[in-house]
Amino acid sequence: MKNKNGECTTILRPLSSLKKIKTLLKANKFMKKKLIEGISLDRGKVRKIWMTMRLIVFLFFVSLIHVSASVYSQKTKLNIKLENATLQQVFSTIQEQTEFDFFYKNEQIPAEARISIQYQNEAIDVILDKVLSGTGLTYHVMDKDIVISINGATKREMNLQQQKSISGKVTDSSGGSLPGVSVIVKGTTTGTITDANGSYSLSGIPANATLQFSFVGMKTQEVTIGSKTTINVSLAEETVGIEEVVAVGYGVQKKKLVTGSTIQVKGESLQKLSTVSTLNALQSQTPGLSITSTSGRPDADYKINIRGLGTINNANPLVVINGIAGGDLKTLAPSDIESIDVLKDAASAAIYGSRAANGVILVTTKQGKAGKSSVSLDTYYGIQNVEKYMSMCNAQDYMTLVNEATVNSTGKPIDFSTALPANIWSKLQGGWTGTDWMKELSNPNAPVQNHSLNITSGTDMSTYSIGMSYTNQEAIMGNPLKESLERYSFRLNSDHVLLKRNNRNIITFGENLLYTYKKNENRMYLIGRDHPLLPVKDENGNYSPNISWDPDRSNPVAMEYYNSQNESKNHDFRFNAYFEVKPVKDLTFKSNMGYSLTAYSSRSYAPTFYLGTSSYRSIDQTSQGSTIGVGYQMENTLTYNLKIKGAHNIVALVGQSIEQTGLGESLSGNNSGSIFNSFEYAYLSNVKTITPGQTGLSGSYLGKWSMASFFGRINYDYKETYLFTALIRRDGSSRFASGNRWGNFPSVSAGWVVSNEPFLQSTKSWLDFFKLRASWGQNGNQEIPSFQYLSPISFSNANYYFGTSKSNYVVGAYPSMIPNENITWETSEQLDFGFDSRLLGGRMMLAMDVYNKKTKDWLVNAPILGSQGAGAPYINGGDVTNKGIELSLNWNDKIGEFTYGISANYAYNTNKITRIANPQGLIDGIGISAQSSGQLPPYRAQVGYPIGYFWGFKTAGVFQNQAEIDAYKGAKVGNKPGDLIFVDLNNDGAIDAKDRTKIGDPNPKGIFGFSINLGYKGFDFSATASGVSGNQIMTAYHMGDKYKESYPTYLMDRWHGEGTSNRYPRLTSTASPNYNYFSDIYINDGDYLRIQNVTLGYNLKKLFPAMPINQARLYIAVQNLYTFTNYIGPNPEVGAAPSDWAKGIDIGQNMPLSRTFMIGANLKF
Amino acid sequence: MNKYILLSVLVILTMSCNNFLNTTDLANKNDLNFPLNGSDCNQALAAAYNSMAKVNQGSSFYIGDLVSDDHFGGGAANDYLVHGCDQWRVANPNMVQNLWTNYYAGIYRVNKLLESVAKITFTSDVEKKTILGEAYFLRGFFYSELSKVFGEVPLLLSSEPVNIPKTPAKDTYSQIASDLKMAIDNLPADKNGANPARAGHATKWAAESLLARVFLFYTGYYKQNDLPLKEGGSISKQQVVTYLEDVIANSGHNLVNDFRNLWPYTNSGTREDYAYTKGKGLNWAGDNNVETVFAIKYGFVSSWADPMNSICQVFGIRGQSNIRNAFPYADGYGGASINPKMVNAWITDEPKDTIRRWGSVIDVDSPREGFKKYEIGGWTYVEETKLFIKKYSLIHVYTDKSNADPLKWGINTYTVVLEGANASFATACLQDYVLIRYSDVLLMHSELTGTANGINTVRARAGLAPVSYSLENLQKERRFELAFEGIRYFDLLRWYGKEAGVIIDQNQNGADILNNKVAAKYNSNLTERIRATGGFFQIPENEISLSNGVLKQNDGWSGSGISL
Repeated sequence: MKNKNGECTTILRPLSSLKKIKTLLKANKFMKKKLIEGISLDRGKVRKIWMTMRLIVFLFFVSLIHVSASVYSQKTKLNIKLENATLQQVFSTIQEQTEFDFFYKNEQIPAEARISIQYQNEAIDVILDKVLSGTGLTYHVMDKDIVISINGATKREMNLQQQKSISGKVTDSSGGSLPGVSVIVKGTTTGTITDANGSYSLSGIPANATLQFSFVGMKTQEVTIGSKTTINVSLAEETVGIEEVVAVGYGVQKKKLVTGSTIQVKGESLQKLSTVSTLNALQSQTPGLSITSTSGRPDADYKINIRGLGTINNANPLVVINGIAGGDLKTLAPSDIESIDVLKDAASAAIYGSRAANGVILVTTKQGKAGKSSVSLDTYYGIQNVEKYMSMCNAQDYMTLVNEATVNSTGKPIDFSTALPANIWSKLQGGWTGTDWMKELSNPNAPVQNHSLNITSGTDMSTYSIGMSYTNQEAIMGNPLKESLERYSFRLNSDHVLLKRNNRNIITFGENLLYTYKKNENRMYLIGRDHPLLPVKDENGNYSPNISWDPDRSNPVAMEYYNSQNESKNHDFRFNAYFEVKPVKDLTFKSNMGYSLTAYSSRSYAPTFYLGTSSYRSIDQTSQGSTIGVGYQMENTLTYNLKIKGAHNIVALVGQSIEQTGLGESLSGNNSGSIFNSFEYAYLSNVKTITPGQTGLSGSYLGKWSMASFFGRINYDYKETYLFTALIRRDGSSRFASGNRWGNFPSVSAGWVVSNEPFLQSTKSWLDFFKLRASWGQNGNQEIPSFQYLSPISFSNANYYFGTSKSNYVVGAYPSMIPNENITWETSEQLDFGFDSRLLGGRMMLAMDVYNKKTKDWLVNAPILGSQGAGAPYINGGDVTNKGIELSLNWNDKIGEFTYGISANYAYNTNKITRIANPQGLIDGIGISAQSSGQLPPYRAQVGYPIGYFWGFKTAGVFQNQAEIDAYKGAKVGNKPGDLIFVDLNNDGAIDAKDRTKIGDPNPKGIFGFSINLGYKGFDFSATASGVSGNQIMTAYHMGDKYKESYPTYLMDRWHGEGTSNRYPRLTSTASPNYNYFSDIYINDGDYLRIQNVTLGYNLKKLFPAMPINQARLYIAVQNLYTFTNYIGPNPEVGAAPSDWAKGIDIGQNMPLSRTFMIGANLKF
Repeated sequence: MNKYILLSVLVILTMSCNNFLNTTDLANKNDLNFPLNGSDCNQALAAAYNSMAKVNQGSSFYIGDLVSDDHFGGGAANDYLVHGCDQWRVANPNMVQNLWTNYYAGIYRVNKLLESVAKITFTSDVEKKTILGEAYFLRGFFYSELSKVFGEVPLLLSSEPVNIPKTPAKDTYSQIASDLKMAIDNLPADKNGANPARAGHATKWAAESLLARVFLFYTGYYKQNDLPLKEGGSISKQQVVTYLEDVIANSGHNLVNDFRNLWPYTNSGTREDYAYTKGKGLNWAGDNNVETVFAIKYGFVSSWADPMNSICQVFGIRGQSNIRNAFPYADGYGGASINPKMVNAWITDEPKDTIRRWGSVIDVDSPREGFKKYEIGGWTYVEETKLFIKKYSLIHVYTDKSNADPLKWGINTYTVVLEGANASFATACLQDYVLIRYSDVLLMHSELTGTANGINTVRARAGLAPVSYSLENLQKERRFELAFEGIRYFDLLRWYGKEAGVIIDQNQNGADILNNKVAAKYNSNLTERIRATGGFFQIPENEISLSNGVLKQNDGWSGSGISL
């Protein structure tokens, strides 16, 4: 068509119409997709649809072009006569006579061509064939439009517009269908998502288009359509973690944009280790986290410190489960965990303000996913045995040592034939080597099993995740009773979009429910230090009673039986629900409410027994107790995402929360005189008598505690290259007096993704990503009992017996504490520098952090003058500095079908107290039971030293002979050959408390973890290891003043003649400073490396691809395969200690570690 | 404008949060709501008495026995506290911290009570005066005990936590005198036994007797004539005699007819199974007998934290594998073994004093005791003399004598069987500690007046002929009558001052002992130690270091060569 000026420059009306069509087509696809998803449409949308329908009709005709052309062009006959006319003249003549329109480009029409034609009642194609012959032009009739083009070009252009239908299926690498995958025509917004079976179909797609398949956690794949009509795609998992999203508290952030120091551990990698305890699984995977178990028993407690011990008060990190603060990692089943994020530096943790001084652990339980339902069943069964027994002397060695001790003290040997009962003496004569109590108490092949079922499903409107698990574990010791743990967990997490508009979730509702029930039975009493001369049972099959040889010692197996008849049950219910509203794009309001209910009940029975005059119970004891605790939390946050010119990204968060816990009561009672005399009937109602002094009753409220908080955070980045985060939290806590209640906890952090800079483009070939980070922040700690600012009147432990009756007492009342009205937060301030990097095409990841953490104003119960007459208040009384480095390295690659990955992490930390606010500058530990009586506590907190360092005498070997003693100039305690040479450190001529010094440090300098993963054609192999270095352990298996107690075999190396030992002095039967003074002979290095888990698995799906399940993996695994250590005790992991801040005190009474062989299966449907 | 709105919103938010954050302590009262009335006051007093009762090991009773010439350390070699007290050496830098902190806790409790008096509603003037009187008595008691053991101590008269140096003895004693005088003036003059429910409470008679004891110690040790009063003036010897005569005339206290009936081994469950008491018509007068002027009372413990008389256990017969063999004793730790030279001196000096002597001393080898067997050296016993304290010991009773098989007769302490106390032998040490016995009142009266009446009344009860008054006779009488009751050492200290050690060494060195069954001679050098220390004990080192140098350690307790 000519333009108004008559210049035939461009006639593109029909072509531009086609463009319009295309645009509308896109709209159509979009609408179509929405319709599938069942969204109601507003009026505007209906109008669009109407237009779209018309276009579809139009397109229909386009596609039928040849058919329609034949109709009109065949019907129409022309009469035409032209002389020496140009082609344009021919076209316009035809146009005038008919309804045909001609479309052509002027420049394509040969200007010199002149044509003379004459036709009568002739068809258009005959005419055009004649006219265009030899011009190099061709024509195309589309209904009443005739397109003239250079020969062949029209055909191509028409093909371009040809529309195709494509369908196919998307699967994952294991062949499982992938629902919810986005399938988009590249460069457009046209697309769809795969359905529950992973299938999709798209129609009307240009043949030369490229389809893009993308899914969270998978590598995006592109396929050119070409001639294909079916495109099946298998998506590979995204191995590079840098695009991962991590939890940062009140929200998530892209890992690559995080400016603080955090680590994320996936639930899968925890579950893979097949441990009953989540904390055990975490051990090897978290640099900077010290996790030490207190014993090998099921359900053992763990001491967790992030970046060193920050206080001698409560140093546990805050645990936040699904956004709700306060939770116990011990109760969580690994199969319920989606991910664990540890906020290590102050800047990251500051969002949790007053409770973050010791770091924060964020737990997200498994969330639902849109798409096909996925069901997984994980199960394992294992048998556990003692990894390593404590090595104790047998009867013969024991008698040698006891005799030697007696001779050394009295000069007279022991006549065992009279000292021991005749039956035992004759047994010994018969070659009996005595009782190994550790072995007698053990429970060989103790079973452990775990089964968990997880179901996730959902659409993009609603998702859910259900999990159930069952765990049953027996302890490796506890014979003749079986200590056991049973745990059931149930989880239901779901998210629902309630209102969606313009592809935006306007209102979302979600909830997380987690219920765990745990039952512990027969918690073990104690591992005794009994001599090996007592058989477990006597000739009549009864437990052997105490013998006069050592009447204070009772049969440990009997004691276990008489003292471990107990059971406790824990119900832990956590629920939170949230509403999320996005009223406008980029603004999110979220309101989250959490509720937790814990219920605990326990009962026990202590039967009467008689094993000797100092070992009996003449009256039985039935005890029952229960506690119900409730807590709730409500929080509201407002988040705004702002993008300016696509370069500046700002995420701003403000929020508020209130929280109350300690709502609840406890009740307990104990009574004597059961009418049934058995544990089975150990309920208080089965005791019918009330006896003063024997009937106890107690009930109390748990102590309400409240907190109110306001917080705000800004994340800013410029082109994801310059990153900055600032946040502040303001907390008010009921633990402090009005006036000292509110604390502010600010933090700032910054990051620089150096690898985005042009000047690093040259290194792109090997350096994919490199980010520098720096952060500073302040956190608080408020873990003290409430009401420290009042002078509470205590009614406990102050009874007095007036009058003539010995059973009536007046309950005394006294001000128990000197109040401290000024008590306030403990603050930890931390500076952190680090980098994250990804190298060599994502195969290698390397990260490092350097930090300096100062904990100031500890909340401590520092000793005060006894003359002040009441308990010491908590004061803000101490500072400690932890400095350290953390490194982590990961390597993942594949060679053909062989995949492998190695990861290693290492953390180095030093701990030093810089202030304790009492004149001594020290706080003593608690004397420990394994020490000889009357001895000073072996550990302390003191300015200039690490927390809990071992405080005792240095020794300079053992006097080997009299000549050495005579030549010795310094002060000495013992003066016989075989006595220890104590060092008179202050040279005052006396060996006394002033000569005690630091003889060891229980805090490891280094904590490390390793893991290896290998995969080949369905086989997988993994091994993990962890360990510590640079710490010492106090080993006290034998009390120096109890010479008849059992002897550990290391005491066979005692001095017993010149040159026999320069460490362990001679043994004596009377107490002697040699063993009674706490000295470095008790100190041993505690370095170890433990192979925690080795697993070999095979996916049967590889063998039987037709199986109707996605994965069928079978595996065998060993836990705690081997421990490399020079430590003399059975287990260098010693968490048990008499107080929170002590560790590394091994008194030989902890349950040893178990080695577990297990077999398991993971099935995915 | 917006700024102000924002500000007010913040203020309102913070205020409403503060309400949210306010909590009430439902588990404890606090000093805002306690004490408010007489019954609260009695609870506060009970807590102060509890502080008194909590100190067993390390108390003046314990130290007074161990360091004296009547006892050795005994027990095992690693029973450091008994040996430290016995030899006046450092067993542990904080060896009697228990005494220090508990008595100061008692003082704090009394001070708090006295500070609260203004806000307390009393039902009667008598109630108020009784409570005040007891409070002053207790403060006087605590300071007198602290001064007796440590010499000069910081005198704290309010609940304000302060760090002050030692107060001169004169000032502390004048405060003690004033407190006891306040007690005497306020406490009612009820006759002993008039109100059995009040047994255990301090009385006017107890205050008067304690004042006499304080007077004797202060004027003796510090060589003064009078006991000063804080408010000015002083208490003269005559005034003290008047107080004692008030006790003698008006208190209703008297001597128990038979000396042995003072002690629980004559209880109804034991006496006929025990050779020493069998068939003698003895009958224990009980814990609240007429002779008890002031005692620390013990009852069935309701928890391990409740005080118990552990001295009975610590000083009881050690190391017997079968309790029946040494019936009714044993089950103890064998601390404070009796110096055989003391028993010999007693036999020499008072050959006819058999009732008191064998009513006070267990001689395990004597047929009097009728023991089946005594195993020596049990549990690595050191400084064993086979002589034990009879007055305060664990006393047992057969629980099932009707059983035909004597081996099946159970055995337990008398408090468990007769009174229904808790079964654990450790918690069944419930014998009251008599701090002031009426015979002491009589003897103090003799000493202060230089007359023999008191002495002879006491002797008459023991079946001994009268004697005339002399200091020597008085001293002997006190040693034998009040033997093993924690008095001897402090008597020596007030009579001989820093030279008391000379007497002690003279009376005990060279005595025969068994160390872990091996015969040896006992030896100590208290002459030097008491000269160096003035006879006062080591202040807990913790207190010294926590005071940041404000409090100074007692003489003779720092430096080398003093450790055990």
